Amino acid sequence: MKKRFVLVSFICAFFISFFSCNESSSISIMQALASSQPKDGKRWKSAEVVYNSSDSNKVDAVIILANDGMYVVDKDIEEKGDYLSKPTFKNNAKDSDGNIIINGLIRNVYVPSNYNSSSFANIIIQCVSSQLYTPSEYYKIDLKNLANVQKLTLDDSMGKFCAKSSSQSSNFIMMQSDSDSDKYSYKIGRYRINGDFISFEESISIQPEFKISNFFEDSDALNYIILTSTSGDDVKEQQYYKYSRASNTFEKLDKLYSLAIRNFKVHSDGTFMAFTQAGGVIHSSSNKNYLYTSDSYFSYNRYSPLVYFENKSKASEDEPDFTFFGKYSGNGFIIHGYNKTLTDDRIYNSNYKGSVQTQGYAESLRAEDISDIKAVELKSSRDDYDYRLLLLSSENGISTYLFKSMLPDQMKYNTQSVEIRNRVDLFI
Amino acid sequence: MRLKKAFFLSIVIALFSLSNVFAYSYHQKGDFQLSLRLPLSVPTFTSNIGVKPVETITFGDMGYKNIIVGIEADIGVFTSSAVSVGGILGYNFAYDRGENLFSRVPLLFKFNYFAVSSHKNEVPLSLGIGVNYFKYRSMEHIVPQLLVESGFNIYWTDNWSASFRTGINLYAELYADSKKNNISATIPLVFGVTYRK
Repeated sequence: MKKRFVLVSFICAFFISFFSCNESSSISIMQALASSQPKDGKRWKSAEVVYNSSDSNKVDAVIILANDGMYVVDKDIEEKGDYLSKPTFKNNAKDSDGNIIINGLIRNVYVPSNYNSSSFANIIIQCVSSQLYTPSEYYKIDLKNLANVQKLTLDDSMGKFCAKSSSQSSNFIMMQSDSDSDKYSYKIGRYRINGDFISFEESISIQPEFKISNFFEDSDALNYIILTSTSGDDVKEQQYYKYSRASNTFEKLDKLYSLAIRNFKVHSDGTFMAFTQAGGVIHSSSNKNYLYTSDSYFSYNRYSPLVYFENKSKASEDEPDFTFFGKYSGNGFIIHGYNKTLTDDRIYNSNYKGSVQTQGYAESLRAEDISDIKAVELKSSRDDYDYRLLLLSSENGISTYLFKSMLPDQMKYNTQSVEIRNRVDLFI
Repeated sequence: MRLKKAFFLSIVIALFSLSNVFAYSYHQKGDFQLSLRLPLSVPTFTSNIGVKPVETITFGDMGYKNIIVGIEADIGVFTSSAVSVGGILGYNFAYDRGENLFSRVPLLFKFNYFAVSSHKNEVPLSLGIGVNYFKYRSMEHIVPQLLVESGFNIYWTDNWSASFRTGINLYAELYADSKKNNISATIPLVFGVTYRK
């Protein structure tokens, strides 16, 4: 009897210790259960920051897309509160709903190049008739008078909206033209609202032999562009190409194949940083070699919509050049600093890695399935930057984190950061 | 908390009182019982013991869409006329608010004291200890469990009875990262059939 009890206890202890090692999530099973949401519950999908046209340190509005429609938040609306309970523009709204009529589902938001905060604060929304990509309809919305909605026409000869730049406050877009030949035809440039039409100002025209799904440009000059090509939705199947405007050539980046890269930071000399889905950081160099590093904190992330702040006021060599953020599996997000420069192969990141997890359990139990992160850098005074992170949890809504420093080891502790739940809080 | 203690204490006292009334015991050393159980468990509370102060959520806030249901096999071998030892192996499941499956597989060592054991009726008081395999979405964990339950068996033949149990199940979900540690509880309402020999 005593032996049996000892045996059972031993087996139990073994299993407990074995599975206690399974710490791949930052929340427990009971916490995850408690934060589950109904199937038909709200899903927050993505956010778009509309910067002030004359002062890039100011934000005019934040547009948030959810499964029930689009939420427009500006400074006045933010102060009134309760702006996240009902969409400003409801999907498939009818007259009787008392909403502004939008045909179909709002799929994407665009800020045209002739957006002007004071005289022409109009954005473009793209609507599709169903969840599948079907022919789109475009509308312009006046942010100064949200009831002022007008349908826009996009000339078929220009092609169709293919991908927009992910660079902060950039408004480049890629258009795909129908082509009868084997080659694809793309144009990158800026788009503007011209009366009832969307017009396109072409900067670059490329005819690759592959289909392009996304692009990352170095600057407004578009000297170098990283292009991603995929035959399907599987990010691991993507191929990456570097396009040089000067030589009009494509360089296939073979070594990056299967690395599932989610974001690129392209430098003006054609070198780049790449952030992988698994949280790895890749630096290219001029001799076509790559320096790859990954961090165990990231190793179990599935989808990390990595964003970064660039250190523009670096005070010492110990400060990272970039501080980037990724989803932390389970809840919260992770902050990671990286000090690799183009001329320096050393990695300084070990002192900076850390994570900030959302606090609380019973009151605001949250399993953060993060759908979008936006890094917003605003200069609140002459030498004082505010680093704000807009975090969109697909189930739990929006949080804004305010950091007074971009040094990860200072961000790590909440003495230097403030989390503001259910508020956009980007309007300074 | 005091109310809970008082409730269980009164059950224990009542059962021991009954055992004096029905001094006769049906069983002998070496007899066994095998039960097929259909447990319905009411989620009761989860306390996050990894934070200060401890935070607790109850019932509907725990995230289950409905109660937890399952099937279990319970076996006990009598070591004396009033005591049997054995265990439970089963499968329980529930859905969360988003209709994702939560599963648990209990493997328990169980001690039963029969306060009443007659030809027609039995009133056991049971203590179980063991582990559960929890599985929810991509997460899995082995979770220690403590079970305290009581109820009755009503025999319609010498060997077959209908049974009912209730009590409390306590689960300790423990991690190296202590912030995640929690204790949760369910109240089981167990219906079953028992065969004895």
